[in-house]
Amino acid sequence: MLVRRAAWRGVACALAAACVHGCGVAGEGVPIKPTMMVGEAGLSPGQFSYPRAMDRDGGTVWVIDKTARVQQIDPATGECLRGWRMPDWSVGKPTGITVWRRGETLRVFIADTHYHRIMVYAPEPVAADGRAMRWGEGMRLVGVFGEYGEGDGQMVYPTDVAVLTDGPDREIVRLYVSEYGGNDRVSIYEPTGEPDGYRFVRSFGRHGREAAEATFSRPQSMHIDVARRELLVADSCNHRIGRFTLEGALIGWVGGPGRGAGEMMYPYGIMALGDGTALVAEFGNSRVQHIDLERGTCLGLYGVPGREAGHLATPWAVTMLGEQAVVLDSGNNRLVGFRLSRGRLWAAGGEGGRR
Amino acid sequence: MTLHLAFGIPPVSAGPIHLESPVWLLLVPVLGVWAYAMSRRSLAGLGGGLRRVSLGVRVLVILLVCGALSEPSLRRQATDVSVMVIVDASESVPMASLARAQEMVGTSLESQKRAGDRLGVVTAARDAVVMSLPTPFNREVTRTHTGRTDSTNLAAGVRLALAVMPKDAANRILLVSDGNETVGGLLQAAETARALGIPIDVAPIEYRYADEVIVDRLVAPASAREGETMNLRVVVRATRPTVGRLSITQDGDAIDLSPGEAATSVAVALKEGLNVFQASITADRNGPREFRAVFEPEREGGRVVGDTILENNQALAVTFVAGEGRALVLTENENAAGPFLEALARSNIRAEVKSAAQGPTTLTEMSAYDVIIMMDQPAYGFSQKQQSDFKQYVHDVGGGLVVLGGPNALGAGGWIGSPLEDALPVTLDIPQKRQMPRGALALVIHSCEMPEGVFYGKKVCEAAVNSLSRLDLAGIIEYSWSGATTWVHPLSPVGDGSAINRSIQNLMFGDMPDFTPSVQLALEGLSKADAGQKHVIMISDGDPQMPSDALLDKFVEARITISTVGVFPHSGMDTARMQRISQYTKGRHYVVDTQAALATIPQIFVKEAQTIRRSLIWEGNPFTPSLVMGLSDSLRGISQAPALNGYVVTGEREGLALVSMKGKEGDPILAQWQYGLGKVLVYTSDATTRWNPQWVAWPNYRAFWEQNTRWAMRPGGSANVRVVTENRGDQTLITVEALDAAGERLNFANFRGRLAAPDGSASDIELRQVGPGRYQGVVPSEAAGSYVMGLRYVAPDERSPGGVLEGTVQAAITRPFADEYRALEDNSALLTQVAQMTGGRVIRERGAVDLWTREGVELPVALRPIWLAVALAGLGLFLADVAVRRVRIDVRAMARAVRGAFGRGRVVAGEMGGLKAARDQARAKMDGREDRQAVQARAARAREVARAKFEATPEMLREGERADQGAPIAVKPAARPPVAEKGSPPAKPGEGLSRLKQAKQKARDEIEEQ
Repeated sequence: MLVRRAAWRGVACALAAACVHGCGVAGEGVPIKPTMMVGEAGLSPGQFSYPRAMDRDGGTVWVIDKTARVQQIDPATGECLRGWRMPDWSVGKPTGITVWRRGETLRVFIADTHYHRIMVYAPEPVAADGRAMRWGEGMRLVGVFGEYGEGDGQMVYPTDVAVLTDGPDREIVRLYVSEYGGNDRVSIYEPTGEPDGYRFVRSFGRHGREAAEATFSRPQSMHIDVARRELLVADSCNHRIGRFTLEGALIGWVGGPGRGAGEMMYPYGIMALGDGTALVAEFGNSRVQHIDLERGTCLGLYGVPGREAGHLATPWAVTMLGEQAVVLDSGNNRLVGFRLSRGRLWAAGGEGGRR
Repeated sequence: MTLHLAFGIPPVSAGPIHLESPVWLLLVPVLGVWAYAMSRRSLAGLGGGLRRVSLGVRVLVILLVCGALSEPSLRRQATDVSVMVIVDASESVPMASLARAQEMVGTSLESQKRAGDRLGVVTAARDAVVMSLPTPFNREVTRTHTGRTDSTNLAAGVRLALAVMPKDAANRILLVSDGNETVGGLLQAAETARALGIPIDVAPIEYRYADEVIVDRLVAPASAREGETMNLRVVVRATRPTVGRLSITQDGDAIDLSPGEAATSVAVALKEGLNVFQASITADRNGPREFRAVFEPEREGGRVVGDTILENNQALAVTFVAGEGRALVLTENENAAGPFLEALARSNIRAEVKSAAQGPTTLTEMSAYDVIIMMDQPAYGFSQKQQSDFKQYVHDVGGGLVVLGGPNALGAGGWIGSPLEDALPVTLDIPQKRQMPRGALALVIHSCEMPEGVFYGKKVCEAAVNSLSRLDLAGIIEYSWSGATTWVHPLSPVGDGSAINRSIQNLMFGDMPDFTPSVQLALEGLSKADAGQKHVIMISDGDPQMPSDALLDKFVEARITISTVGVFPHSGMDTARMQRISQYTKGRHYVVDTQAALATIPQIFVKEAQTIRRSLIWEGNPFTPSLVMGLSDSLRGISQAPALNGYVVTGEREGLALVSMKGKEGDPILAQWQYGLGKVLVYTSDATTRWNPQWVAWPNYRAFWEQNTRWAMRPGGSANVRVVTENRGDQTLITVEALDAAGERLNFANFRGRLAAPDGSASDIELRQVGPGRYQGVVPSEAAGSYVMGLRYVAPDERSPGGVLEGTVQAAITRPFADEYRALEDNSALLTQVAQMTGGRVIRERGAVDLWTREGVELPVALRPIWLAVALAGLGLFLADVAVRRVRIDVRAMARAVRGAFGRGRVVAGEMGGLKAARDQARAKMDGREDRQAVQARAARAREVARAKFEATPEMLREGERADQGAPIAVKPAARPPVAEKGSPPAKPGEGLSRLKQAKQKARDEIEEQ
């Protein structure tokens, strides 16, 4: 009886999985069906040269590429609404960007990786008629913090900033800054009370590969799961996602090196969906993986390595715009949108995907 | 030839449909008639309406099939216009004029551009570069150009613009230029654009220099004898009368043109047009003498008067002064080279001693010497350009080269695969027959973050791999963008290098996040390798995660060294981390953080690859090299050589190379040959006491080196040959006047010559005799810089030994500045001609014309093939046609079935019971609602009849007997047909058989149809 039931369940799972769009099983990703694809290689506005960081802002996204250009892109048209180049870039280019908006107040936090600092910009709102600004227009640097070093308030290579607010559309109460370079950790900063002023509070984590404590090897990006009050850290060179309380206590690790479902290769981008799942942009596997954070199982694999439409090449970041997931397809110099398969009730790869 | 061409029917377009081969549609009426004819027979069994439908479907199928064969496509007319702006970024364009033109173009672009229109930018100078591909979001035209700007190639700009134009938009070109091109042919490129139907609008950058002085040329003899007085002429062109000072320098030292005055320059007053000034100077030293004439305009309050472009105020000339032969010895250890230098000095060979770093860097400097001697010099001591120049120095200029061995020389010095290797009379790789210990080299490549990372990533791999021996093992590891750290080329013997060079071309240059997998892979590969020396070279900017000490300990344990090359590290910390890896494993660390240093990276890799090349050195018990007597003049009078205990292993080169001294297993010790115009000699052992302690004390030591050095030296020649050059456009006229030793004109001489250009290329010089003792030839010389020419002559001369006069002569051609700076005004005429030729416009005023106009351009049509859809529709209809004839749809039966299923047909008494009930109901209906008992009774009777055996009745038997006896059988009269009842169809005789035949015929027809 048990055998028959298991057989029926297997057949049903296989049939259902075959019907689910974009979700591979047993670790096999499939080409995604793009709902949006903008951007191309180049140095003009709207073009990218190996974009490496992205965050959403309403219906738009902000992107930084390897020429240290910051651009706000309208995904509907691919147009650059405004942009500027970082003041210093000869030593290296930023790899992290985070946007916080409260009404008309906008802050763009940029992890200026190779200058060991966080830059805070306050761009002016885009004109009501949607007219794109001229290059460099409407940009104002309002804060800088961090310096080279391994001590408190110092940074080696900052990679990303996560912003914690005291509620939806509320003030910033805390910043988390991840870094690597031998001093791999996450530092916590809080507002000083001065406009755009932040002070170091404490840090957690160290460089390492152990699973029992907060050890990192190149924590490339972070995202806060507001609903579950968790900080997610993409621990890239350990090929895993770390779950932490907002105070920095380790909850658990998800993933592990490999190409199968539930496994990861250099997860560079992380986006919590608020339902106990998250999207992970895997630089090494050139795909986006939808994971169940609690069970560590794979809920869907999107994209295969390649240059064609539906393929991905070394993606660095992923985010959600409404119902549409948007991945920063860095190697192909483009933004690709696709829809998640919400119909899944089981995990591709089953319980074995847990690490 | 396609079908439609064969019938002369061109493609046709009608509305949104385009047919590429409409000839197939001719089949439609033919097949239509055929289908109609066939339908009269095959569809005869169908009702009238059904028959017409079936025929219509058949005709439609024919139409669709023929339509699919005619290659139909959907047409979509483009509505956007793409403008490629070509901006002249050369030096000749005045910045102010360009800014005006840019502003004018920018205003027009901004105001008249429609949504969807695209803008792309190409800049043109010496080369053309795409600054921006056509995109709707471009709003600005920048002049930023990556590349040299000292010449103008507008044709390249037009061709590049044509190459990157989008195919789904109408295209225009806007050329913003002064029209002064120095390279290429704009008109030919415009002809291509015209042929493609693309108009070129031009926005001339107009200017005229009212105040300008150009030092047109400095005329000096190309060659002279030591002590000879030379006459220098300076030609200066001025657009209006002005004053200034003229100075001339010789090798950087000023020539005093104003004796008695403090200043060495002379004040000159220029008249409008050409001005010629002369100066005389004595050639006091041999070798090339470089003269430079400079005009300094007068200044008032710091402002230049009478001149605008200062780059064209100087001219250059080089004169080769012939004299006694000179040698250059390149050595890094002058003390050790003492006995050798003393031997040269005692032989009256004038020698200069320099290190590689002080050595000649240009071909002109090399040409000052008649022989260059390299003592134990490694390849990485010289740039690629220098190595190429050494080769040219021998082959094209006729210089002599002597390469002496040592632990850093020849194959052990990384010269394998170098440009100079071809010039040597030995092969530097290990001979096939020799069994030598080999080395293993793993390259870890992470070069994507450095400037020109792909270019240099490949260069360093090629440099390292090509300097290895064919037996050595080499492998390359990288992080590919597909997410794997892999051996791009597994650790394997280099062989002829073709396999690994193919792998190098396939490198993907991924952004390596972590060194650990790469280092781990290298360790595993090298640990298994059967090799003596094992080494790893890593190149990176230093930002991947570093390998652990535990992993590096394994390298130390396995005696594998790692050298690291940090290219543009992000910080000192990256440098320190990479340096730590190399120190930990006893390798070396290099920092490359300047653009100039970037070019030396391949040399670093050659040097590092040398780590495993020690195996090419043979060292052992002393042995006496064998001499091959009588083959070479350089061993005249020498019959035996002292013992050696070391040398660099090389191989004999096939061809004209001569090996006159051999070592173990026949390895070359002394080899020589003529290479092009010059000679090369290689001695694979050491000229000092390292491997030859007895040689220095050998009585023939001096004679050995004198004879060999003199053999390689460039011959001076006894003729009096004067070379004069004159630049004519982008060519130079060479005139040679030759006298023999007695001062008579040298006739019927055969001149062989090579011209080495500043870019490293070389070409042959052909000289023809045009008068008594006078020879002329023309060579191309369009690029600025110094050209060195080497001429070797052979002429019949009764007074010379052997009746032949031989010699060499050197000369130079100079172009002090690019032709770019000769333009004094714009060339709008050329641009106007281009616009007229292509149907473009001449734009001179801001906003005067709509740059995005649709006039004069053809909006392209995009074709999307739909033949497959049409063919599938035809197939579907064909199946429908079959269905029409084969499938009878009984609407009433369907209705009953539906009623049965949803109305009273609920079956509750089990599956079989329900089916039986349904069957009984159906039977009851068929039997006119007979009761079940009657049905069952009739069925029972039928079963009885079927079950009974056939038995003849008595009447049948009697009939049979009569027939046997020949009695006639009574024939019953034919029965009259029964009178039909009213309302019933008349019965026909044989009706059943006829219907069977009809059914059979119909089935046959259908089979035939199908």
